Amino acid sequence: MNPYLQKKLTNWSESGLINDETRNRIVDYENRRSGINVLMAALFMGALTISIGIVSIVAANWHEIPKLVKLLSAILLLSIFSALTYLFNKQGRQSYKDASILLVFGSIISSIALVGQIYHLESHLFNSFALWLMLGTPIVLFNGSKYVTYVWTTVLTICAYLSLSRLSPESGHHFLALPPLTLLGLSLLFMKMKMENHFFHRATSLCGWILLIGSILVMGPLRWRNDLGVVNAWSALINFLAAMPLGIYLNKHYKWQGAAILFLAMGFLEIPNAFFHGDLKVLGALYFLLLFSLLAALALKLEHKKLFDYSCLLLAIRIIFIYFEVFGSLLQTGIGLVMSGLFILFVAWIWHSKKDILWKLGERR
Amino acid sequence: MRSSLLLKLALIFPVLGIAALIWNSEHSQQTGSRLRVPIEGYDPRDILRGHYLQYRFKWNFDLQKTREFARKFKGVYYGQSGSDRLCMNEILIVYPLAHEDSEKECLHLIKGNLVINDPIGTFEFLLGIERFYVPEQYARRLESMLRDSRPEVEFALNSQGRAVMVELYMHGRPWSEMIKR
Repeated sequence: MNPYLQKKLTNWSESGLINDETRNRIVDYENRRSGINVLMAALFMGALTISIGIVSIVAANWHEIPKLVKLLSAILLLSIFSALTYLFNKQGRQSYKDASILLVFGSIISSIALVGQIYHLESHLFNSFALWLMLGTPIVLFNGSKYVTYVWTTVLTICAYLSLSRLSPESGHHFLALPPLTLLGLSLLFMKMKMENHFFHRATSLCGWILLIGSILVMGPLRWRNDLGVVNAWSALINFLAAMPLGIYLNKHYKWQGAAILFLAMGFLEIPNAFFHGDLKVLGALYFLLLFSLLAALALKLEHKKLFDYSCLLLAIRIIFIYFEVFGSLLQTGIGLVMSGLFILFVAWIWHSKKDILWKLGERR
Repeated sequence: MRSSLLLKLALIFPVLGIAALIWNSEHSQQTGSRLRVPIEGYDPRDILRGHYLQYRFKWNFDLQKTREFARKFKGVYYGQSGSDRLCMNEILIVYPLAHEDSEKECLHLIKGNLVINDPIGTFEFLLGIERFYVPEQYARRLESMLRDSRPEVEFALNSQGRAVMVELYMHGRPWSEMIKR
């Protein structure tokens, strides 16, 4: 069991917060749970190692073995892993089934790589990833493990970004919001389908939000600063349309303000893309502050403490960055730093004075 | 019952998909006319990239017709991947073919990616098979052999006119024979 938890349990027990019976029940539960986790992690690591090993063997290009033997081995290996999956499913051994699904998924890409190498096929990396996903997704949908689901989601994410350079090498960066929006759209679909494996919803949602917020934090300010070259209003329109399903969902579950903030965030990313270029960093910074202030206000309204805390944190970080952008000389930088510091202290004071209310809100949630 | 059937289908699908990929690659290599074109190292100092050789084809361009084509695009043209056509006539001279041009003179029509930079006089036609995977133990030897061995690449043209790699030749012999000498 986790030594940290063990120590805590001893403390609680000694302080009389829990009795021996409760303590033993917690220990039993944790031991059972960690046993399953260790088994799953070991199976996952084993399957992943085998998959990477097969790819390495392929990469070594074993020339001495005839082409036919190599190709038949790839098919045979894939068939063996498929048969194992079927067998474990029939026996009801879920963990083993999940591990063998990962092996099937891994051997699909190694087979594609092998065929590509034998026939010297050269194409955009997106083609290989898309084929991998096309052939592998149906079987991955049968897994019940978070590990396999997260591997699949990672492959899907890479494929989504590769598709940008495949479809349009010159203007792919205009569509940077599309991969996270696609992932978020998929997560809604998985939720609607009520998938037995809820990790599909969780993984795509987590990946989608991280990437969307990452794009807003990194790409957003850059777009307000730099000249991207060609104004591309169409890409902005497409990105806005792609955000529609998510907007409708947010409107339904997080009030209209949720949807409004999503489209404001999209505006932060897409306005410079669609209408103008050049150095508008001050305007961009103000837009950013407005966006995250509204998000913090919405978090308060929704009684979502974590969202409020993170919004405040991002606001504070952004304020520090403003002085790098706006001020030039040492005197100006100094003034900027003092002003930024004062503002951060002001925000911190508000946050601290409302801490009790916020904690209550957090607990209620 | 239904779930079991779906699982079976999901398991068979990748096996069939990989088998179809192999069949398609093999079929394209075996059928269609074959051409052998000289090659040179993409960067003569470093032909080897990882475990593959990187090279470019030494096309025998009809300069007049190619420049005419280039003028239409103000001298600089970088075609979309795989959408351009190269006409190879009976004496193995090649030139890019615009959509309205006649195909009568062409012995072979090859699809690829045309790159023309007329002001500096460079023409390239990329087939998408400009790399050749080699076993790691032979890679360095092959790299040095390629420099002075009149290397050529044989490829097959599939029904869509796209090139499928067949073999790498040195001094007119397959590379695998040459490496054993």
